[in-house]
Amino acid sequence: MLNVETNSLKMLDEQIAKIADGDKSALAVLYNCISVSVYSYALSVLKNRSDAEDVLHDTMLEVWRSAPGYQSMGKPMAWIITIARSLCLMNLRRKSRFSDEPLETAVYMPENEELTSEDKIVIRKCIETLGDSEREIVILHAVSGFKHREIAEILGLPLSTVLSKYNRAIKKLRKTLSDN
Amino acid sequence: MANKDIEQKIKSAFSKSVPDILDSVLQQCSEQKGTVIEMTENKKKKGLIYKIAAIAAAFVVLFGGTAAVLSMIGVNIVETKVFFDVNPSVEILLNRNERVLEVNALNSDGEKIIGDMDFKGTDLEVSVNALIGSMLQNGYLSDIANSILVSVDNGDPQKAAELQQRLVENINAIIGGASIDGAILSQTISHDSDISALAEQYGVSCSKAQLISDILAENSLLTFEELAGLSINELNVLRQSDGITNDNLQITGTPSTDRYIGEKSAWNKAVNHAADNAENQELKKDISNLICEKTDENISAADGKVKLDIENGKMVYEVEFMVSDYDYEYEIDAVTGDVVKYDRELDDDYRDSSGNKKTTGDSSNSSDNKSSTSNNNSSSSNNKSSSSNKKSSPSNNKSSSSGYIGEQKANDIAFKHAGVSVSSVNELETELDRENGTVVYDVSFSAGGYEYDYEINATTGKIARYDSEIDDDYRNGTDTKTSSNSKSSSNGKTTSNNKSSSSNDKSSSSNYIGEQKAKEIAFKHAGISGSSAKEFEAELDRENGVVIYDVSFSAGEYEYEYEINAITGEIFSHDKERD
Repeated sequence: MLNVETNSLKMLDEQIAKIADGDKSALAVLYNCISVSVYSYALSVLKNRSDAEDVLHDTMLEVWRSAPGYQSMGKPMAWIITIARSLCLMNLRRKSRFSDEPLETAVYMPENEELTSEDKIVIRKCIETLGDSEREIVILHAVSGFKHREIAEILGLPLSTVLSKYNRAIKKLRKTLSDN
Repeated sequence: MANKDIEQKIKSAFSKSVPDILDSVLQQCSEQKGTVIEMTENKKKKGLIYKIAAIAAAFVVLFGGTAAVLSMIGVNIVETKVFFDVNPSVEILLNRNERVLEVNALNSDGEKIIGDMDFKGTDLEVSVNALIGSMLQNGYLSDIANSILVSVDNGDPQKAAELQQRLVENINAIIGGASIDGAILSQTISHDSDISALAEQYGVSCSKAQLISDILAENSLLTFEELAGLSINELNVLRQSDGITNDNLQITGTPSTDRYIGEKSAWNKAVNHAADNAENQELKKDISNLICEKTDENISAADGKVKLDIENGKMVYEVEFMVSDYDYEYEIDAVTGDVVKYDRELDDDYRDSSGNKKTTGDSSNSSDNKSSTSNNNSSSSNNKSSSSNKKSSPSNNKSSSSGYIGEQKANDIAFKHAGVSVSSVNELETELDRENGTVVYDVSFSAGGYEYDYEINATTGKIARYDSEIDDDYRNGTDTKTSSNSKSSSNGKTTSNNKSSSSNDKSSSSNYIGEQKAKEIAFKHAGISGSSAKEFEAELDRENGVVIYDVSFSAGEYEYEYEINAITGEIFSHDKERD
């Protein structure tokens, strides 16, 4: 699973370098490290599990394609999430032209058997209670381990906005999860 | 629910949500790679031999590559991270079969431990044997430093706990095999961005950062910075000395303190030092009675206490005892036995009893009382008390013959630094004194509504310490001052009151937040209710030119001290000390 500690970042950089050389086992290692972050992020933005799956898939392909041109700035995760983000935005743009899907649990709730009923409540509350950008920020911080400053960079928002949205979101979640 | 708990729940729920689409990704990549080669070949119109080579290459990538990758899926994936911290810090990355994928050094000592050993593909147990063996061989684990921190990071807490247990048993056996009684701290950890940030900032592993954070959570007097430089054995000793336990931290064995001189030896060094510096035979005798001569004799709790602590990143014994109304506080270097710091002040009970209890050492009465507010200068009282009330006049240049700069020069240095003219100075006192073994001139005077106190190195003329505060008469007369304001009432300093009446504009007290507000700010920061605070004192003071409230009180087992900006209410400094 992803870990944005320095060592892990170094490890990701190494994998991307190997991927650039066509090493698919490195792509498998990378997938294991980043799939949770990418999928969770995509799910939080798209609120649709099948679209999120597509984004995870396409992000991996894009990494495979773009790895030779990747220049390490010590921020491999930010690079990957930026790819995922632009794929999400493309998906949203496409969606808004053709349909306006209602928000239904069945549409977004993942089907993994490991999910406990509490996990499902947490996911449902994240999707239904939080605003879109609040959710995006919370997932990037809680699941991917990005610092608020890094999230501000990725999303192109002022740090103060990220912090206040994050705090508001956590407050909402605390309340709604305690009510359950 | 704490933020951390909520984040953990989110992380856990979303982590389980991911569909496994790796096969499909890998397949698609192969197809793409094949296509790319074909397109290149078409475009560039290479000869037949190149075509065959390119297609063969595509097949290798497509089939051979895929087969190899598929067989490696799972075995090349990091499922668990194990961290060992002693002073060397290393991490071991494991796949799901507990085969080692990588071993990485997390500090330079870690590099020494790993050397040129190649662990890839080895069994975890083999790697642990080699790593711990290397730590023993290189002296990082020994009789005098027997602690190791073992940390396991695995998404599945049950698996992590099980592996933690096995590792502890395994390491215990290895260390025991070297005839060393190991002290093993172990924990399960998971990614925490705050811990990672601290680890990065201070250049320690996340596992050590977690341990340090746990210690700090229990002892707020310490700082991350000073703990980051300690070895695990030193942290373990501190943790034990403070009685810190944590639900997540499993502890086996006792950390070695063999490197240190021992509590008794530290106690005796402090007591001997105090006796050597006693100003009269009677006090010397009283102090000497505290010496612990027999090896099996325990230091009586009634006499005082001694405990291991840390000072400027060094392990010290903190020794405290009381003799003849004096509180002595020593810090003794735990390894060398040197006196690092010492301090003597008049006992609180004595001070609160309006001076009637005992009348010897009058002059030390004034200086000792002062030391309770300005904290640093109480050890200077030894010489003062013997020179009983003697005020030095400029002509009393008693030390010019001994290689010292002389009182006059010391005065000039102080006046210059304070920016006052000689003509504006009142109540000048200059005394030769001793501060932590260094001879200083203690110069105190008042000028322009302020009281100044300087310590000037008697040999070099360098200012060792200085303090200035608003003269008592300048303070807000309406404030409900508490009884401890001995400064204005006891010694002979305030005899000439005429100095303060003219320039009161400096402290226009109407702008100040008031004692009550300062008190509330301090209580809020300390997280205590007003009713639980005792021995409350608040004084208007000046720190680096800014008027502050100097607030102190005790609550529970702690003494608190705050400096609060008298106008903005901002907390300048705060200190919490065990009572």
